[in-house]
Amino acid sequence: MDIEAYISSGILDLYSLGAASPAERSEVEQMAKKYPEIQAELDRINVALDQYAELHAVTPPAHLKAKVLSAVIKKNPPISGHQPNVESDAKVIPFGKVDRGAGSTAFKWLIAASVTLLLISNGLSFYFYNNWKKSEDRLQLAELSQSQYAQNIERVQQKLNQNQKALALLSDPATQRVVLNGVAKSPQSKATVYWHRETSGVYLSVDNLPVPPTNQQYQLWALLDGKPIDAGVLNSAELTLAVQPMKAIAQAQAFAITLEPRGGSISPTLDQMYVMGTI
Amino acid sequence: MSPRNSNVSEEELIRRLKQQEDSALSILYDNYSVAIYGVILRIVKLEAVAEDVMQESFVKIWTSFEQYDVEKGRLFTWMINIARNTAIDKIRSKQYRVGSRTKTIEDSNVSNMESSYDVKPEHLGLKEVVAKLNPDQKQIIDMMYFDGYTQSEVAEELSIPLGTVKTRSRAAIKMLIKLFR
Repeated sequence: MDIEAYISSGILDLYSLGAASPAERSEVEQMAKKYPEIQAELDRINVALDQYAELHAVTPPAHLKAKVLSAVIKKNPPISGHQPNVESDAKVIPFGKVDRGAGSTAFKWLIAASVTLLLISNGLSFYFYNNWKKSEDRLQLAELSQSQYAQNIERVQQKLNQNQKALALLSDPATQRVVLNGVAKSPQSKATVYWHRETSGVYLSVDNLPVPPTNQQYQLWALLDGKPIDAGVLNSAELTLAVQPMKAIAQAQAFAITLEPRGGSISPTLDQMYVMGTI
Repeated sequence: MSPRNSNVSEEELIRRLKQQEDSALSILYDNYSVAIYGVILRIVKLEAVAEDVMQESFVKIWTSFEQYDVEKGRLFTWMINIARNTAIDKIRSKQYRVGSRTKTIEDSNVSNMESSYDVKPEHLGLKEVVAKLNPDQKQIIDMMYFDGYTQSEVAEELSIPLGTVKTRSRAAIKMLIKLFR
């Protein structure tokens, strides 16, 4: 520990000037306890500041002394006021004696009354505590359902936006409708792709597809010159709901849907093809 | 500072104050009120306010006297710090700032006080000391000691880095120690 460096850092001066942070204050106090040289320098600093303060001395107005003293006494009566003197002691003793003889029934009643009050008060506390607990629970329920409503509204809003976009796409003359019909594996299946040639936007509406196992998902492919291009997986939960947006496809000659492991594949599993349609 | 009432030593006074003897309070007042009042007045500037702060400070000194520890420092340092903190709290309170603004416009309390500042015999040493301190050093001491600025407030106010605040404080205090030796 370089005590010289610590002293010359100025931290002791800030401490005595009252400008040190709380952390610095406790640090200085610990250092002063540990190193006598630091305490000694602190003392020198304080003496100098005390002397500097004294240079500003001004005699207070004469009436102030009485004011100050009476304020202090009022705030904190001197101990002599607290000490019971002999006279009041003498009065206390007979009062106690009288009570002990004649007042014992009254005393019992007092105890009974206070016990009753205590019981009532405990009962009330319990009652109010329960009420409070119940309200707390109800509040939590209300808050929960409120947040659920908010989530629902958000979901509906999203859906609405999607549908509006889809509707705009469907009614756009530049949108091409491609019907995907069931292949030999599943002749009843049917889906429709709406493909906007200018924006490359692709939307899909499923007319009929078997419900996929939970570990599998349908995936849409665009075919260009015999090569499949991933156009995104279908959201199983929304399979029968309106139209869902898929990945943008710039060029394609045909679309097809295969059943793939959940999350989709890099290339289609051809024997799992359900529907296909050429443009 | 040596107690003015030479009949009672500081040790004796402290002992009697710890026992909450009210006669000791009167001696304490006689011995230290001039220095304490001067510091309070320097901070709050207005005599009426200084009287209130003086009262508050003595109440605090009296009620918290148990906490005074001779090992940690001198009685005077302890008391002056209580008075300083009370006065600084006062000028930093909102009420005071609003109140003092209207007062200073109407009556010339401050200028009265400053003229009386020069005549007080207790002040004869101030000018000499101030003349030997460089203005930067005096400013930094006064900002912290009398106006209650924290080191970062000083740094901001004077547009100097925190490190400079520390080194300048050290230099100023070293100068003070030298001057009073």
